[in-house]
Amino acid sequence: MTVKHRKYKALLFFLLAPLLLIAQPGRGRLSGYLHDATTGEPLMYANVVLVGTDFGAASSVQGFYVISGIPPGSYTIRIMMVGYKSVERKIGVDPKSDQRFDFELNIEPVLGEEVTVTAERTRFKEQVEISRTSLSFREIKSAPAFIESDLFRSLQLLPGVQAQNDFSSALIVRGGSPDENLILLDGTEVYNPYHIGGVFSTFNADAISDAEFLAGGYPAEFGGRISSVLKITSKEGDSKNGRLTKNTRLGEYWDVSRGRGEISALSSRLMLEGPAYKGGWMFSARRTYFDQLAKTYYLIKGDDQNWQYYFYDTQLKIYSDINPKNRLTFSSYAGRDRLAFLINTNLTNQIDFDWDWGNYTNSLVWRWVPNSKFYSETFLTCSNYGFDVDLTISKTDSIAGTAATNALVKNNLTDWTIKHKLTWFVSRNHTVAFGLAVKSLALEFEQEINAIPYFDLKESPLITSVFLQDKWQISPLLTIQFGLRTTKYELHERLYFEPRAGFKYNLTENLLLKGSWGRYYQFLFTTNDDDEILRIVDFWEPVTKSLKAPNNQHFIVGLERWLGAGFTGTVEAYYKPYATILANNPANNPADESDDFITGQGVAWGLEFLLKKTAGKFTGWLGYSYSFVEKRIDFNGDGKIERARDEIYHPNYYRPHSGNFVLTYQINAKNAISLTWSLSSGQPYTPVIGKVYTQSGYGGLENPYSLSTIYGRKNSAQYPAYYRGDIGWLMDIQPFGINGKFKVQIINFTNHFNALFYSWDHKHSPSRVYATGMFPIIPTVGVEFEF
Amino acid sequence: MNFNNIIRAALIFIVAIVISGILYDCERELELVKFIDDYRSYKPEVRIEAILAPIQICDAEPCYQVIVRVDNSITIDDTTIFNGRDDNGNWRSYTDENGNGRYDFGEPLNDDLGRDGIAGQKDGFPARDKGEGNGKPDYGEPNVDEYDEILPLIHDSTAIVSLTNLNQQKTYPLVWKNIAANFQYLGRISDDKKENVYFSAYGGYVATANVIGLADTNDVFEFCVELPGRNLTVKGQTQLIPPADILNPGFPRVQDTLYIPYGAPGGIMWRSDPRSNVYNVRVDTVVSTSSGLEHLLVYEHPNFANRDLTAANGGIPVGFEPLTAELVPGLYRFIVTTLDENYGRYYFTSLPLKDPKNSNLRDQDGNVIIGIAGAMAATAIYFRILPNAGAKR
Repeated sequence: MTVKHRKYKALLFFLLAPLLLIAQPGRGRLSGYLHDATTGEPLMYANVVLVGTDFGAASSVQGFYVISGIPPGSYTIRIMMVGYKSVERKIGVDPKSDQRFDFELNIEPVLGEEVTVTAERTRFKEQVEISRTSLSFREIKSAPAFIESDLFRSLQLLPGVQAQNDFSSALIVRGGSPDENLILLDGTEVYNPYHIGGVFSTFNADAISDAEFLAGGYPAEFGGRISSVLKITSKEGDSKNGRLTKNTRLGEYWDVSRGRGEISALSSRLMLEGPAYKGGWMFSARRTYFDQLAKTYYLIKGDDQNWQYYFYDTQLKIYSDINPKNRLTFSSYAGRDRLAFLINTNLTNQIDFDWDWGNYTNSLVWRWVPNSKFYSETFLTCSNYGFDVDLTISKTDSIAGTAATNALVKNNLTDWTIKHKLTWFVSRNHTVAFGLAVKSLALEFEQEINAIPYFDLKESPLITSVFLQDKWQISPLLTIQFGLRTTKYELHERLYFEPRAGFKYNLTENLLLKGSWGRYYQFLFTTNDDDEILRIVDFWEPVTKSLKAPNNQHFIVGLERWLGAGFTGTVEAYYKPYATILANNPANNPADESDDFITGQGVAWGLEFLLKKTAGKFTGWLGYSYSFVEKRIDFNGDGKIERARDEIYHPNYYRPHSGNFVLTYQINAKNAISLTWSLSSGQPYTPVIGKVYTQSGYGGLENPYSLSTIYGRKNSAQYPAYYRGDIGWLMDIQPFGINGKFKVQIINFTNHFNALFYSWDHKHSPSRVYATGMFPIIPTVGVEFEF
Repeated sequence: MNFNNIIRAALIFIVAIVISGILYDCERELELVKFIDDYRSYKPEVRIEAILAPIQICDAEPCYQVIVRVDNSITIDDTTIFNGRDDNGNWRSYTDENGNGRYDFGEPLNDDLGRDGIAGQKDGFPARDKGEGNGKPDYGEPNVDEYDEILPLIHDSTAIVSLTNLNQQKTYPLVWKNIAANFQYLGRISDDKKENVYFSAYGGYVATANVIGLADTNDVFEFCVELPGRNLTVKGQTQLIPPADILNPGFPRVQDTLYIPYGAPGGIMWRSDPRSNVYNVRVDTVVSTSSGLEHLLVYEHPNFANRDLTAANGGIPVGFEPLTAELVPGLYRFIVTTLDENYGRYYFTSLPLKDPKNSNLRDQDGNVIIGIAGAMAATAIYFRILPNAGAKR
């Protein structure tokens, strides 16, 4: 047995040894689900206590709670959650009993700011993981947004998360590129969650119930990415208030409870929800409408419309509680962008461009809770990302007819995954989770011109993972979490071991010290270049046999302080050494696919501060981070990594200082204003120092004089500091008796010019330089309605 | 630079056009002085492109086997070279057909196309831009700061240049010629192909003797360029590269001409030496004139070995050029030029100009000099695009 294997065996021993302490004869257990009495939605992080004892638990994201190790006796169980009326019930606990109590809580408006128990407080007490943030539906909707509320853009306002520029909703998390983030929608992986080339994410905020974001140090149940995890849970649907088919036969199987819609400057969307057979359903759809307006305009004008752009997305979730122990949930997502134009450059030439891309996901989840000891979830998911460009240039000759040149680019990724997670509530202080995932990937990447292939990649690797995770409250002050994830990637011979560890130590009742460490690997990556200013689409490829899997470690330590009702402060420091990163090879042999990519190393570290308030009239957060990111790659393959050769550099998304202020103020019951202020260092760019005529680049042999730029050191200069302020006003309205909201937002209300890139015109003496900016001042309006 | 990046660059270009249309107002000119810290300490340097080209397709004299281009780089704040004036008096204003002293839409613009160099439409795309039809030369217009004006200002004719066949131990001096080669370039967008093509020439150091002689592809040639004024002696080595073989693509061939129906799928394929997988392809239209056949450039661009075809050919590089729709019936000439490995990398790379892998030129202290010592060889074939069967003549 190798030293490495012995090391992991020892780790397994420590994971499982505490199980020896589980024997608690004669004790009872309670478990159950908590739901909103009005809608049936699960209540997350509600507090469940046995009055007068220190026995208690918090409900999970699914609304499930477990209390174990209860001595026999009579108790009062109390359920508490801010915004809901507490519920109490007298119960008896027999030796070795295992009882199920489900509760529904009714909404009760919060009076003043006296809140004793909030989901935030419960999360503060219960969660071990560091770098974890949850964003509720309310927080996503209330922050000013570019036209529409957008989950990703809200996340970009957190410390440690950056945007590449205003046009991109991609997440740069602690120096990692966007393909290092695992995006899960109801347990299904989503590969390109953007619309309009990255300007918006594909997730409809109305359909989101909760979004958990782990910026690093995440536990063993998550794998396949090396920077962060975003777990999005969509709403389950109001299963209580069906009104369409009520009192009919159909009402037992399906009904509609409510709907919500919005019309913004970008799109129109609708969400419907209601009861289903022993459960509920939710459906949301969103589509741009500008193309339809344009179509009507051209129709009226009598002209041919020669362009089209639209996107749509739909989301469906339906669940059924077959019996108290079993639930089946089906979720589906479909989103597509389409850009097409037909240009007749003159009577004889035509350019026909068709580009569509998008995602489809489907998942079936079986949740089984046989008793209060075990919680089992089995997922069968399918995720597809497709990208298809078809460009045809045709010419018609009056004598000879028409001929065409056609170019095609396709990138298709299909991911079938079956995974299982079993949580074992060993004791009141001890939870163990096991899991297995088998992921079958089919990746295709084709490029052809006139039916001749220029690039044809097809791979179908299998990725099999198992994990074991142990959360153990050793003492009232100290909780630790250990885990090990082991992965077999079919294209590599070795096994990948990913140990994870975390701890939480209560320095005081309101001050926690947290830390984590983990090793992370990923087996897919995007071939997008670091230098891309606009990350329009992602091109996914598998890590091939000859390449090492990108990997890094996370070392994170932090303090978290409960400052008051719904008011927390955190400070975190992280260090992320990358043992392997992949980069495009600038000197690759075009005939040889084995040298398309090269490996390098990198490092990211930083310090983050966050003050967050989630209760009261003023809510929001203030965040600041200082970070450092550097990559080291032997681009010219000479065996040396030299700063003078631009082989040690900062990536173009590197911003050492970054601060965000997000504020929502509820003026009164009907009006709220919001303000977002972002201030950060300018991004790096490569300075221009001279110009020269060369034959390189896209020049020709016939004419060997193309004017080329002479650059200074890569990314050694910096754009001016970035800042942007957005304001919004949300007002309740009741047009035609329907509840609604009217919102006005002004993006970049100071109209500050933030440089996106510089461009040079060297055919002047002296040269001329131009700056293209990001968002100018943009006012937008929107209307939401509810019925 | 690989094909993925080309496609991605093309897509970004298309979307950038769309976005820039939307955010036109988001561009502003900046003061150059804001960037002075970047360029202040840059001193002009020399760029050398030393090429062996024993097999090339020349339409006119001169046609030298060896050419060394030695040119100076230009500082960002230079004020002399691109002056926006017609220094050689060849710019043509619009033709005032109605004699009213101003440009009226529909009158021939000639070179007075405005800064974008394109004749604008009265309404629609492309729009008329500043400087169009204003009767004076402006930046961006044809024959303003064109090659004939600029190149003499950057050429360095003071060097002492030689070429040595290291295997045969023979050294040949190269001499400066004001016209080392003529070249065509595309200068405007017009349906009239002749109007699109401009002609110019560049100066360089050439071999007036047959320096290649009986050399073969194993011989190593070394260029030496001495620049006394800069205290530089620059050297670089290269080897000859054989030309490509054009393969039979399935079209009928009579002597050196392929016969291809208009709109036929496919293209022209070739096989090259294993040391070469970067090419240049060029298509000229062939027109008959009183003085014989004239070849006018239609397009040229880099090309590289096709992976699938190369793999199917046992690893011997195979290139492919599709026949594009703009090739209407007529006679054309297709030239594929193979470049040796170093030259190919220099020609088609994302590496910085002074990266040691990009340039094989070194001065006496071992410093990298911008440029290349390389070799190329050309092969040509004619092809005639035929009208489709049943089409009217």
